[in-house]
Amino acid sequence: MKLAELPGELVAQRLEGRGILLQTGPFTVRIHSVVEGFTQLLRRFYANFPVVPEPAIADFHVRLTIPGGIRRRWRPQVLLLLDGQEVFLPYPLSHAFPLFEWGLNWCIAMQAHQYLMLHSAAVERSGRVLLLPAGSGSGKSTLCAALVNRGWRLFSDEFSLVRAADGHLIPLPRPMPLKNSSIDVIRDFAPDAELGPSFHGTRKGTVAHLGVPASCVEQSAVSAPPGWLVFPSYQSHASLRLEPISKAQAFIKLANNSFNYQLLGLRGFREASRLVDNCDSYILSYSNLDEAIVSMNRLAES
Amino acid sequence: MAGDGIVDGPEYIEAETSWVAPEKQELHWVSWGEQHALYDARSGETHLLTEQTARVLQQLVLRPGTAREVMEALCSESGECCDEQSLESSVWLLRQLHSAGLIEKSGT
Repeated sequence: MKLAELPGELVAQRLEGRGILLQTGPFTVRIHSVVEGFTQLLRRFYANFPVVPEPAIADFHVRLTIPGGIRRRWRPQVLLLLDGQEVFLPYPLSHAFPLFEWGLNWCIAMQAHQYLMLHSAAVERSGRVLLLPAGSGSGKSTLCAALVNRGWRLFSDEFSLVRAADGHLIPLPRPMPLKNSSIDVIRDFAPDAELGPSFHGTRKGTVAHLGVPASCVEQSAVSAPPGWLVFPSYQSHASLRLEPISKAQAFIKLANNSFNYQLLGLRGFREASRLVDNCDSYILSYSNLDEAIVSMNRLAES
Repeated sequence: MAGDGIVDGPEYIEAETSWVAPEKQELHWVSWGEQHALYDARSGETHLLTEQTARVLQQLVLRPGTAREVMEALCSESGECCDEQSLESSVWLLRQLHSAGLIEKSGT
């Protein structure tokens, strides 16, 4: 059953009670919340995600609560508990949804060490995955959002999960958080895309989430091998440049963009080198999304 | 600069200093043409090495030795002639490996 198939009242009731078990990629998340605005956004952005039937074991337990005290009256806040622990300081109540998303990222980054985890967007076409490893501010999420709106299948805009058994990428489609100027860029680029409300004044500036196409959620269980490693860099007014790089260069850049390469030790070394072996690697400088997409489509067709 | 009290800095690497590398099973290699990635299981560090540096390290894994001995072994293997420049190059590469924590002075 999908979340959208549960009546809104029942979702709110479950969130306040035993929680809702949602499947996102390979993870089962038990979500509790007493925040009204959050419930609406969860139903909107996770509408097509499967609800896991009870009883089931959750990988992560996420709870949104409203702390008491005098602030509750004049400046209400929301507190996130992850597996019962307070990890972040409280946020303004209206920021409950981005807080939930960041909290879930934190759970994955801290615990999912059965995978080599890359700080990378990942999209698939023709049965192979294009990885876009890069840090914040590189234009990775914007390019990922644009590619998804031009027919590429979303694996993740933030986490690329590499399975040890076969080196395949595991989909983890989630709402894509666009930041600051990227919001208007994508609004202009894909006027029909489902963009949520803008949250101003977060620790990352203004954030708005882009919905995941239903087809990407439906194919969440379909993994794919890596095909291309492209290290993107958005540069204002730059002409498009896509340059091949050596496998050794790609390896170092990849290791530097991993959440747990160091922690995995020899396993990380082997998995990262296998990934590099199986990919053609490039650096990409771009300022125009249409040009970048043409370039990525050519890669996929070659 | 012995007067500074520094006795183990890379500037003191000499042609006759003997060097030892880790055991073969501690080093894990991946090679792409003339570029090599190396995982050192003792430290958990990953290193990128050029062909020349990798050859020097691999020679020391086979047998500890001085810069001169390493140079002679590599020259003999490749059929190249050894000269003073080869020795300087060998000393320089050993310095790099020592700085990266991949080799130690023999007997230390």
